Amino acid sequence: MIELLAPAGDLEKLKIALMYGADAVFIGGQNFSLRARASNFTLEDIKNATSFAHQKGKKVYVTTNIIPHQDDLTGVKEYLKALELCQIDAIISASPYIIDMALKHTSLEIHLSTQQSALNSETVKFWHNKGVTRIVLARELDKYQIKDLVSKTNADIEVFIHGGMCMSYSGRCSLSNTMTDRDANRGGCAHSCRWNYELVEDGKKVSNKMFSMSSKDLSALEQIPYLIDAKVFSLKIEGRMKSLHYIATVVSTYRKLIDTYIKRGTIDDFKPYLIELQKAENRPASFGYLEGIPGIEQLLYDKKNEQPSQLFIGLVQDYDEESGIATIEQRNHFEIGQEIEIFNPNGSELSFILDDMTDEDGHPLDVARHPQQILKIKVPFKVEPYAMLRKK
Amino acid sequence: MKILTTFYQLNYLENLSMYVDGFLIGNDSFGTRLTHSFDSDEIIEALIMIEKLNKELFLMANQMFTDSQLDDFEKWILKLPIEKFQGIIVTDLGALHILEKLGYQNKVIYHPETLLTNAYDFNFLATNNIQGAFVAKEITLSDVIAIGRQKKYKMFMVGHGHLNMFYSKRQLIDNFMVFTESENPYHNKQNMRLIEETRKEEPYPIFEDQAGTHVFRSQVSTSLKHLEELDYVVDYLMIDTLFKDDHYAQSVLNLYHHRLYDKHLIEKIKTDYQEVWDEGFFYKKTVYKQKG
Repeated sequence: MIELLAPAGDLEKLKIALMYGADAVFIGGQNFSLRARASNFTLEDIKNATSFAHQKGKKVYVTTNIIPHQDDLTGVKEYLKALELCQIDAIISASPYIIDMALKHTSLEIHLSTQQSALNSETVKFWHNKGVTRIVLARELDKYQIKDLVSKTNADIEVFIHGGMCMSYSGRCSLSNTMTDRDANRGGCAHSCRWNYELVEDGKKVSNKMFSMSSKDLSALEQIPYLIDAKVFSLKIEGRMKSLHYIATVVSTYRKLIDTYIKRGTIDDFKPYLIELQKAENRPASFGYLEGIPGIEQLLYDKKNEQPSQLFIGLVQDYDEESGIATIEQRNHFEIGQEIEIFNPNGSELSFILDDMTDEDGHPLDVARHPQQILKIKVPFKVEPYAMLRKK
Repeated sequence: MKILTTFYQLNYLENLSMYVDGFLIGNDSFGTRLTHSFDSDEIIEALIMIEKLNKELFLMANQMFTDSQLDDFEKWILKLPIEKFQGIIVTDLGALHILEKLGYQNKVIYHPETLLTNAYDFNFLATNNIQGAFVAKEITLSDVIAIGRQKKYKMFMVGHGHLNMFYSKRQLIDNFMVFTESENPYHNKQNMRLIEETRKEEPYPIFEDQAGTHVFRSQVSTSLKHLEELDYVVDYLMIDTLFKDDHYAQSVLNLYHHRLYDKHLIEKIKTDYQEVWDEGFFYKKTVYKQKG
């Protein structure tokens, strides 16, 4: 059974990802991990995370994917041993030092990070022979190349299906290092490729339009059946810094798609899945390299601003079946009279018109204005903890 | 420490040979960010010329490869007299595997651009019996020296030129020209620059070739002041003349060969080629885990 792998920036997101259908999650620890601005996990958090995941028969992978400089090498062995004690299921690494330390001093499973940009079966063979179990492929391969590559190796192959795209080969970019002193390969990427540029020839502007190195996000809905048939081992959603609602929506959508394809052997219509994904997306998306080298249709020109989705308005904490009252935490503005959709961890969606709402102390409210305020609302059907409320 | 240089024209080799120990050459089907793409006949001609000059020649095969490109790479290698090259510079580990299979592992110089930033990672192919590796450009001089002191094979380093900082497989200039509804006369052109809206004084060279699109540092990085220190650890110092010409190579190599930190000559080069020199990352420690 193919694995659906999701990102988790904190323990709450990890729980959401697993409850909404991920088979495994990847998280960053506080050491040796990229995405420094994600709320990275302490060892205690990691222990709690693995315990939660294992109870559900699911897995946790920890990124140790920096490219270390000389003075970053201290403490790697100890940290890897500590991760092993947390009973994580694998590390995701790019540095030969970290990989060799894990092989020598622990029994941790190792996944090769996409920072190594594995593009061909010879490279996959190289790392697999070294003892790396799984290879996360570079994003620069089309689906036919991926299928061919899978057929030539015994290594487990992981492929990105959704999320942000590096414009450069991953790990080979130092725009951020040069322009901001922030080391992209050590968790400091400033996304300089997404800034505005002018293209000039001999000092003269080529066009009045701004040059872009910013890519649409990856969204491989329509390629999933092909990747399943190609025997890809794991399908990866990217985005440890994304919101709770984004994680839930994206994971749930791919879960439903994968399960439907495996059950029926065909997907009649991708549109419902696309509509569902659009409830979470805040950037235009496309299929990356999966159908060939991307052209202009995959670039973002003049579309710099991301608009966060306003659809997610609350998270269910509890539901009292006797009174039909749900306790929720507010996440966005909403009011009495609005049609609200309940999005459950099992993927089901039910709607109702909100006609009764109070604050925590029972004072009636017409409008939910305050972020993270605890509210009580009347819901005419049973809802589960961690279900999400969306504006219709 | 030996000095290597890129070059544009075969007929300049003799002039340049007075200042260097070897040259770098490549074809754009397998190499990237090349001053000029030399076809197989020209590469063989260069080999003959360089052999007569008693210098070394290195083959640039520094693209990232898919499986089908690796097949083509293997066929190309089999057509060339590889034993006559001093080395083959590869970026992709798949290319290393092909060269190992053909018995040429001792020719391999591994150059993964950004990845060899500590002594362990620098040496990690020692058991594969390769000839050497390029240390990353994005580290300090003291890190270069620390790595060099622990090296298990030859250390190569880019010592002068516009350091590349971005390598995309996409044809980004071509995409942009489609966006502007114009033809693209800029493919393979070396006079293109990118200007970021808040850094107008720093035009970044941008170059689109068969392998994709590349962006480079605005300043020319130089190691001229540090040759004595580098002598102890670096085996080959590469002078990259991309975006310049062979006359530039000659002027700069004169400085490196004679170890001249001659301010007058340096200023003349800077003025003639309208360039700013700095020391790259030698004293610029990049930040680990910048909090946003």
